[in-house]
Amino acid sequence: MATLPPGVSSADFSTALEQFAEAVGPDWVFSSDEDVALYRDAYSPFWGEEQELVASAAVSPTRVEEVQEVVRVANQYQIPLYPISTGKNLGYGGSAPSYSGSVVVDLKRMNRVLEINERNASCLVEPGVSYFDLYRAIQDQGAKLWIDCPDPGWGSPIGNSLDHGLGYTMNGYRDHFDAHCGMEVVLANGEVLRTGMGALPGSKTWQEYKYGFGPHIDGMFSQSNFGIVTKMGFWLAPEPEAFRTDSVKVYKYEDLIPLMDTVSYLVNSGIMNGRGTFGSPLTRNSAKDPALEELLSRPGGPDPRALERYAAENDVPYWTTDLRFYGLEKANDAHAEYAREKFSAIPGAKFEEGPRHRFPLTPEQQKTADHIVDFGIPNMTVFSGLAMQFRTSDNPNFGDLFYAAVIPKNGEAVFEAQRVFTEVASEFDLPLRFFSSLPSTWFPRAVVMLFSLPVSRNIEINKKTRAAFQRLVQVSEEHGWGEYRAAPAFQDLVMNAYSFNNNVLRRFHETVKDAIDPNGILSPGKSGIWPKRLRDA
Amino acid sequence: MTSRRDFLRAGIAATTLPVSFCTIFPSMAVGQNRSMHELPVLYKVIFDLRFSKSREFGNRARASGISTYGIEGDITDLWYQDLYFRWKQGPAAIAGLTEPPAIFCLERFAWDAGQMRVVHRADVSQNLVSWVIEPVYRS
Repeated sequence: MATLPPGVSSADFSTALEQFAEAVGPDWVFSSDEDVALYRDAYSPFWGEEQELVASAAVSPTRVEEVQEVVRVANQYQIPLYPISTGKNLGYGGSAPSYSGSVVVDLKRMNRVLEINERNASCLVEPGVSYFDLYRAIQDQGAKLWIDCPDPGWGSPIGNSLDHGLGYTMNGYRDHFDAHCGMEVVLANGEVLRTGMGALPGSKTWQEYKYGFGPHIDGMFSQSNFGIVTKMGFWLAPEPEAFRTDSVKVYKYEDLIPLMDTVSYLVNSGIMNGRGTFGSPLTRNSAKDPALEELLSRPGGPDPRALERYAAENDVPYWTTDLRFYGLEKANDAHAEYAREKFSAIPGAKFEEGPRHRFPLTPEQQKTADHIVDFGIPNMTVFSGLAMQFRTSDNPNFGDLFYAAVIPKNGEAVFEAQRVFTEVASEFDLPLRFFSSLPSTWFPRAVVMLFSLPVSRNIEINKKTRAAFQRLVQVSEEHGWGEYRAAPAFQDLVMNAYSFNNNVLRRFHETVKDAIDPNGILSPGKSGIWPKRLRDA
Repeated sequence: MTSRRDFLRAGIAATTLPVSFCTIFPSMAVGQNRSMHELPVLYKVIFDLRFSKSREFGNRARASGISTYGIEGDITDLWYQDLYFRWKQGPAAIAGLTEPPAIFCLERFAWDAGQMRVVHRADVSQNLVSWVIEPVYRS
């Protein structure tokens, strides 16, 4: 047994493990080095160093009552717990705890799809249900419903939504926490709480109406350490009739501004219900043309005017956006035609029609369609790409540490972010191309500048990555940008950036934490929220 | 005809894997206080159709009477159409010669599905890894 919970004697820990075993069965308490190693964060930026966040043991309950008993035992011996759903949050901490020595509460065996309601397009699931499980349950039932899943799809709807994870289909479903409806939570004192209409015994609308009566507290259990979520409802999308994608190409650097504004208008007015994604063929084509590669590799970042000249001379668009429409085929066509008219206001813009689909896709179509998470179909394909093969070799880059700053959804903000982040890239000798990339567009009114920093089994590489990450947080804070999600190793840093009025938000969280978890047993340090006994220490 | 156990013990090493595998695999078994005769029966052998070494590995497994599954890097279908169902019934050992991402994912799926761990992993070439996942019996 390599690690003990801090402040817990070996004897107490052994007794607690025995009591965990009584609660969940002896086969489902894991304390051998080999078993506990499986809960290490494979992409830890501290891999092999003293500061690596590691578990002391893991326990895997299968029923709510068992979770309650685990919590009771943990309170008795002041053992920190770290609940995970399926623990696939790679790049944001994986299954490793936020406080070394915690016992991971692995909820993988609580994997029942409790309800799929086709009439109201909703479901109720347990935390161990993966996106694959839910997708299969819907298919088996023959329900004409879609899930919205991340890429890859091996995570769980509950775990992903609680960490504010995102997907790829229609507005209203891509923000997974926003698409939830109703929770069941085991509190730190062992009580079971149901939120929204679930608080009403015999409720008929737990997965239909979010708010119930009184303060809506569901958000308190996301990215938090206030409870262990054991059930969650989600809204599912009725399968649309059809899908079409179109693209718009523009040729000037500043064209990104009206391009993004037009996409925002289409999304916010409900004309386009899918994502509008942005790209630059200039970066994609660089391998084919040494002259372009030279322009892009310029120290300090590419000169926009030089790239603009290259774009004009080679008839390569500077920017593109891909539009996505879901729904009735006729309505999609009408919406796309309207979009074409709106984009024609940008001089020189070209509108091109792309692939169309009608649903359900045949198995063959599923194999050939591009990016099938756009259609709510979970897969693991991302792990078979060349980039991932490179990352999963031992050196130099084993995996990713994600840096994800939320910035305004407009071209000016993107230009500023590219400039600022390129400076950081230069400072830390990171690939500049990376930092001139375009934002991810999951949200309707903001975008995420998402960077994948290399993590490795090489300590020096990880040290550099950590320093770069800290610098990114610092410059983001200086510009009014904050991270929407971060690995536990950096959650204090990120939370401290949310410092309005002398960090009143964090202090409020601490007040709540102390009140509902006085022993500080649930995920100490999660999102920078520490219980009093560890805060004072 | 080569038996399944013989395939594990000698077949893999003799055909496609480096000498290191011949030494690592038995020592692993000894480390768990098991003789080679106690090695698990493989439910399936996984190979990657894109690599000749891996195809040979699959062919030899098949010739030994072991069921095989060919992938092309992506493990989605292997997981969703096959292992998902098999591992719902209970732990079952698999072995493979694949790129590292495949075993990276399968290791986690195996642990989620039941009490199965990677008990052998060795680099065979720059992009191929040999591996064995098998049930972990505690009592």
